Amino acid sequence: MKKVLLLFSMIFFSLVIFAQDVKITIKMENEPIKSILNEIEKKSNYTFVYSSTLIDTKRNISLVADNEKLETVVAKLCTIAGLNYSFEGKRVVLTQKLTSKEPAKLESKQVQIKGKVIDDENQPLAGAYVFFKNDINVCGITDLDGHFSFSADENSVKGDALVVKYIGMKGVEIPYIGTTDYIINLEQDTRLLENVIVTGYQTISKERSAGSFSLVKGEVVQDKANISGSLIQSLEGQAAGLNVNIKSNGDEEFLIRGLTSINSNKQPLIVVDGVAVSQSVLNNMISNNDISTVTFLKDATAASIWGSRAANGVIVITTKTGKDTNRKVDVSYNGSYTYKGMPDYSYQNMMDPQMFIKTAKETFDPVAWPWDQINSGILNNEKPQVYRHEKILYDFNRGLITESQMNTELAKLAALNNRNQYEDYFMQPAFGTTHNVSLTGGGSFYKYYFSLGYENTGSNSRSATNKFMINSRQEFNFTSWLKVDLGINLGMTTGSNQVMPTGGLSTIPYMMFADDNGNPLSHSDLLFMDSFRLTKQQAGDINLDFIPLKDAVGSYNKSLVNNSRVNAGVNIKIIKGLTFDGRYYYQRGNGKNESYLSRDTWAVRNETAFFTQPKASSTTLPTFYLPTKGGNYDVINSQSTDWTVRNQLSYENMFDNSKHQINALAGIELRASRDISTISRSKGYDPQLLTFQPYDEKLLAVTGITNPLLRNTTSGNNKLLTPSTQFGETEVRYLSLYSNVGYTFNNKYSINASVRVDQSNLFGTDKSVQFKPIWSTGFVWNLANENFMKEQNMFDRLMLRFSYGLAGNSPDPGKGGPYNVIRVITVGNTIFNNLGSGFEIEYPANTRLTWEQTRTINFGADFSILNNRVSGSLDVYNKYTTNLLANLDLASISGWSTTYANTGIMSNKGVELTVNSININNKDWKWSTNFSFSYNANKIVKLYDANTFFTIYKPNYEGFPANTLWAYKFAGLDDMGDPLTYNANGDLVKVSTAIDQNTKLGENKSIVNAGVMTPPFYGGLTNNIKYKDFELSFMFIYNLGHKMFNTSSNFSGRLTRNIDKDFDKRWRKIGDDTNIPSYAPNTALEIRRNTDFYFRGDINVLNASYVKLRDLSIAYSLPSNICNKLYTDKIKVRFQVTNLLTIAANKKGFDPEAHNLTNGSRYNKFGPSFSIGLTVNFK
Amino acid sequence: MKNRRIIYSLLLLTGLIVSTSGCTKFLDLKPKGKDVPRTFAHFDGMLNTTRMLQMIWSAPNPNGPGYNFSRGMDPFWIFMTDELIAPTPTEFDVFAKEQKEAFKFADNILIYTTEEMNTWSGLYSFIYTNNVIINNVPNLKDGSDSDRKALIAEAKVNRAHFHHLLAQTFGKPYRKASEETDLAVPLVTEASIGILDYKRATNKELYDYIINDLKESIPMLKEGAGTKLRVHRAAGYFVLGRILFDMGMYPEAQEALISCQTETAKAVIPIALFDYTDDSKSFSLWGYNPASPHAWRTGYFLPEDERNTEIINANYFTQNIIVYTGTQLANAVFVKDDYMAKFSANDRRRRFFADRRYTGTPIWGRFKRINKWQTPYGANLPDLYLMLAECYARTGNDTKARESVMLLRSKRIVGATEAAIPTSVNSKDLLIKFIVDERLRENMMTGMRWFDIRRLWNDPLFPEIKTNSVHTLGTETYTLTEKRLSLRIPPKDLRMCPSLVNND
Repeated sequence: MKKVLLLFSMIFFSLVIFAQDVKITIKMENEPIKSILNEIEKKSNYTFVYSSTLIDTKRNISLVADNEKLETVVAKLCTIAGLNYSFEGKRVVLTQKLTSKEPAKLESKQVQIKGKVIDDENQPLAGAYVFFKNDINVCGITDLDGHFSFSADENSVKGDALVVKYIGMKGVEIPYIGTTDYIINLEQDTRLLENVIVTGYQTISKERSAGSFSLVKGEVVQDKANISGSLIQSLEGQAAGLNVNIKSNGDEEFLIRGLTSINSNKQPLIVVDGVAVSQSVLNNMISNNDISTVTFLKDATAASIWGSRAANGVIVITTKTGKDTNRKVDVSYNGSYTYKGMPDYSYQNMMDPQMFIKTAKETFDPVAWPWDQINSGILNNEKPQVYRHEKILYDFNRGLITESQMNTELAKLAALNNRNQYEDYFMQPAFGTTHNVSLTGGGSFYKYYFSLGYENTGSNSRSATNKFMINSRQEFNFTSWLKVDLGINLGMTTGSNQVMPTGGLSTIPYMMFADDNGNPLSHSDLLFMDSFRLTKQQAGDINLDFIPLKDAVGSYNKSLVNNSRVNAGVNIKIIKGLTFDGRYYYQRGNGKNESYLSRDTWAVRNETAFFTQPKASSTTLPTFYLPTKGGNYDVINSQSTDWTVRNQLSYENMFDNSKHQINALAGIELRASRDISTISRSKGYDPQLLTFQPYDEKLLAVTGITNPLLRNTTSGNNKLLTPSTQFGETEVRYLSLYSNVGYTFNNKYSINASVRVDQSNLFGTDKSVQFKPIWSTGFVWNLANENFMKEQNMFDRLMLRFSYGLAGNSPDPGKGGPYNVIRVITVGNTIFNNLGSGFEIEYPANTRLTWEQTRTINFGADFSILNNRVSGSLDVYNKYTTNLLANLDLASISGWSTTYANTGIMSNKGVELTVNSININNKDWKWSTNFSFSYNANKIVKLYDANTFFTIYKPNYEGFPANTLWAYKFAGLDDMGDPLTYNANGDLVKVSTAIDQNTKLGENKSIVNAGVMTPPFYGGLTNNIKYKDFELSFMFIYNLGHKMFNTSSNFSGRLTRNIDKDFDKRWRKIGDDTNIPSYAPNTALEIRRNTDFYFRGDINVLNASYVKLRDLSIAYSLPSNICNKLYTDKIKVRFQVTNLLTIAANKKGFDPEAHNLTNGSRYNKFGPSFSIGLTVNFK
Repeated sequence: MKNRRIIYSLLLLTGLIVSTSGCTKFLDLKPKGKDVPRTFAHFDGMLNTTRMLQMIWSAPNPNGPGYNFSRGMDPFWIFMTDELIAPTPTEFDVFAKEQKEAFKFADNILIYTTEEMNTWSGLYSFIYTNNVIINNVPNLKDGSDSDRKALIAEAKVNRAHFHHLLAQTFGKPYRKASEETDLAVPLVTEASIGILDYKRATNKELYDYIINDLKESIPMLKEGAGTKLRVHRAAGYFVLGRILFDMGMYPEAQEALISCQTETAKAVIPIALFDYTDDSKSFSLWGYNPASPHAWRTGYFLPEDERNTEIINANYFTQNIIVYTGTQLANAVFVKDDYMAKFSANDRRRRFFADRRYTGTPIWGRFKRINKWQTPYGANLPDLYLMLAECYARTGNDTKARESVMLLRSKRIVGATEAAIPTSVNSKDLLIKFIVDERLRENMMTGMRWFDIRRLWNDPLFPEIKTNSVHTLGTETYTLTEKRLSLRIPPKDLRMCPSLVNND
């Protein structure tokens, strides 16, 4: 990676030195000193630094040591060889032993100090800063070939030491040992990696970029992703500015620096190894263990190189590459098992069987729901339907049974609870496992990284996915000027989903799935009354019974996704400073989803009944229009193709003894993305024989069937609505030109500028609208390099940054432009068969549409103090989005209700702080803390939405933050148990019409601004504690300052499903001390009031703030002697727990992550997840 | 060495230049399944949609671009005709509040949760599509000249038809005397979302424009209907005839309707009245079972169904909202007894009504519609014969008038004696009244009566229209007034367009 740097900077960094207590065994007889040194280097991981002119490394000596400390061994060697030594970090500096002290010469003599600085892969490092420790003004900077040369006064530098600093590398100090050709080898410092920034187009030093970035190291992500299952999720709390909104229903939204768009794209762009990818490619192809770094590009300067797609920020991911291991193969294994368990059903707050039956009795209303209506099936497309508890109640009501009989029957139902059966038959605890083996190594010509990954995820709904991933990255250094890298990924994901009972899975507690002996039970009475079903079965010769446990037997739902991608890069150094970079990417995905519903499924038999005419008499046969044997087999084949071609020239050079440093790049990029899908549906399918049965599709789709056995529509003929074949294809293409220029003066002041123009085939738009350059500019002041700062010891690093730029979101392809956009009408238009395709205008011609533009100003400071013990950065930004894309109301006379238009202005202001500290650092103990804090204030400054027609269900209004939660002002219940609110005059009212919805916001007495649903404050706190071979790490994340609704849903009408327990606390009679509205047996009565005055009332607004102990991990590394015996370098065992602790600000016990903030519905809530993992690095 | 790298780089750079020189072509790609209308087939296909057939059924999606293909509560005038009566307020509660307000002839129907009406926004959205055709097809290069002219003509007929239906709902009834001051609806002839304010045309402005449009367009339309899904010349004449008829311009209407009749004869598709007197050719095809007549709810052919031979052009609206609404079929609105009595004993049209639930349970004692929920509004034979009959009667052509009305009655009523026009109908005025009653019988409880009420409100022959336009709901009564013959403009557009004047 450093190889690509070709940039230079400096970093002041003091080494943390460990005791040299590595023990080695060596036995070498009469070997050259050089070989012995090499052997020690190999065994100890230490390197020797010496001047080849002063030490005769060809001299042969003998050295024997048996498990002795390195220092002892080195001392032994030096005594034999007549050398002096000193330990400098992981280096041993060898000098010639002076036999006698020579008198100091007093006359000044200029000597030339020269040498070469290389990295651990022997590649030259350009821009390394070399200076004398006692006089930093005697210094030089390496050129592009890594050479440095400068003169010094021999007398004044005698006994001094040379210090070499380089960005991303551990600095070294080498004793001055006279004029010689120093070869100085720098080691990569992973801790300092955060000082370089990978934008996807270039890797630059943080010191020279004005952009706002955050970096997360791969290993942090890996361990977390194995348990959370998602890379994006595992980034939570790691970087200031990133807000991950985790919902247990699987959706996750992530935003960088707040919301900049209402209707357009909101999510950041994801880039993997220099190429933009979709989230699905990321999920299906990239193994978490292969991730090297993740960089967030947050402001305009950071992101503008990505052009129009970067307005929401960019997440740049790099994967691991090969390294020069001197041809040794490094093999490592990483694996984990994760247990997620079952969701907590009690969290759903559903009624138990007794309460359900009690409620059924209380809400039974034969006046609102007369028996003859129930019995006639008028309520359900002529299919009469009655629930068991209702049947008993109607029987009593109709005088068929006595009250005591009724109570006995109801008590029988109340004694049943199907929840355990539900969980036993249809659910399972979620398990997951991951395994990853990687091989890495190479030499100076060829480097590689191969990995083989396997992930298995099982979900509660008994679906399972198996993911296999093969990743290879190779680098070829053909010559000193030609380098080629090649990445190939193959990914295969297979999935199988449980086919759920096709007649539905009832939540009514007494609907048992099997009897006490395990025999499956019928649920067909949930669909039709038995008498009706038997008549129809007889008339149509079709079994319409529905037995959930037998329903899906023989049916299956499987998916297979194969993905492959090739990512190749070419790097040619043309002439000094000028480089050509090419990147060529091709990705292809093939997916197949098969769903087979056998004849045993109720859905298939029911569909047959829709297209069957009953027999005219008992002696004739019914008329079948669909096959009566075999099942329904649906196949979806999909194919995606993405490719990118990028050609780029970069130039970098320095002039006037490094006083002026310049780097520039310019390139052109072509990108295309194409998705094709084919859906085919067969009926009468036999999966064994691969046969299907034909049917008259035109008749069923165009004309339909009169007088069917069962109706599927309220009016007209029964028609087949889904066609047997469907096709889809979309393709988007982009052409982009971009350039980026940076200039640094005297290593203190840098300016950056970048510009990019994107054009696409965004269809229906005008080219002139598309030609919107995205640009940015920035300035950095590297205070630490000022002379006046060199005297102080407080700051190791101090940088001030300023940037300003423009980013944009283009209107979605095909969503409008100067032309009308038409689409083919597919549904309901079969009758136009012979008249040609039908088209409808999807979007009207709209000349007023232009890009959403986001201007960002960013001020930032990066600092590092107390020998880098505390470091961090602070950013303040103001994002101002104009031409906000949203739906604008139109007069209906125009033919359109709304149009997609540039309708407003939104601002996001915020502060971000990251602090890293090393609290303890000694031989046995190491404790570091990482804290991130973000604050974002969003406001819709302007919304040219003429709609003053106010509804609390709309979250975005001018003058208020986006995602505002609006609530009714609740004013108690009246004497019918109906919730009240206030009208404009302050009178109590209970219907929506009484509220003046045309008054301005804020003047409306019935409506309250309850806060925002997006947390304004968020971040994380991570502690890593290491004691000897043990590591403990835990992270708290926090989301504060937002609001949500209490669980709330109105219930009225017939009791046909299980409902919330709170319904039992409802108002029943005058004097009841409750706020929960009374029950209304049907909608006709329900319209006398608006129950949302309570359910969406201010009384039900809760604080959604929470803090979670997101994860806790304990790891243990086996001692090195045990590892050695097992032929390994490292064995690490890890135990992780997520979500061990939640502190939520609401008193109701809601977990805001298992909650729909907008409407208060509950999602599944899980207990902590557990994971154990193992990492092994083989010798 | 250096030379070689320069050569390599040059090669790559050449490749770069070559690869980008085809840029225009590279970006010139249209997504599949969508397009910008460019070809004749595109514009022509815009009329291949059931949405435009089912008038007042779909409206632009309020949540964004595209159509919202769902039944609204419209048309409200279905609730406002004189033959309707409702039982107690509780039983009437199954309707939406807006629908109940319409039944009560309230000034503001939309005072509840919505501020748009499908009748308004849906029809204007169809007008947009037709304007796209009218504005753009003249510039097309493909398609034959006659095809292009026919398509433009078809779009103009549609545009006129939709404007007329809008005016029939929101405009003042047409009166020659005050045509220059009576406000109709905004006349939209340009497809544009850039117009921010609209004003209402006067009746004169609107009708001068659309009648002129029709007269120019009809000769361009294709002859001999090959499909009922699109507008052919017969349908064009029908629309012109209907507009003139609704304006009370009977001689002119008669001329257009005769032309319609002539053109219909050239139709390729079978066009004939259903013979209700022969069950095997009508009712039994539609699933009617004499054993349980009240249970017959579906099966009548939709106007767009190729087997429905009464239809020349399949525009229709649906009134099942007053038949089958909410969850409770039984209680809703019914036909007043004296209106039901207009059907003679063997008038087969009675079969579309029942006084019991489909299970057989008796309800309120009055009849309500149970079948044939789609009312043809485009060209259709029954309406053609009835309009022609009235035109003949009013222009003094007694024989032709009787002939016309008998064409229909003979297919509706069993028994020639019963079907014959009663001898008591022995004057021009009585014949006109008889024909208007026949219209009522044919269209009972469909909403079509609304247009007659508007047309005949001040006709001295029909004083009972005013007195009968009273709705009772339990003990409450509501009376239709002249100003409510025009519904108020939906609030959203009033809000957005300052120049729109609302009705009183």
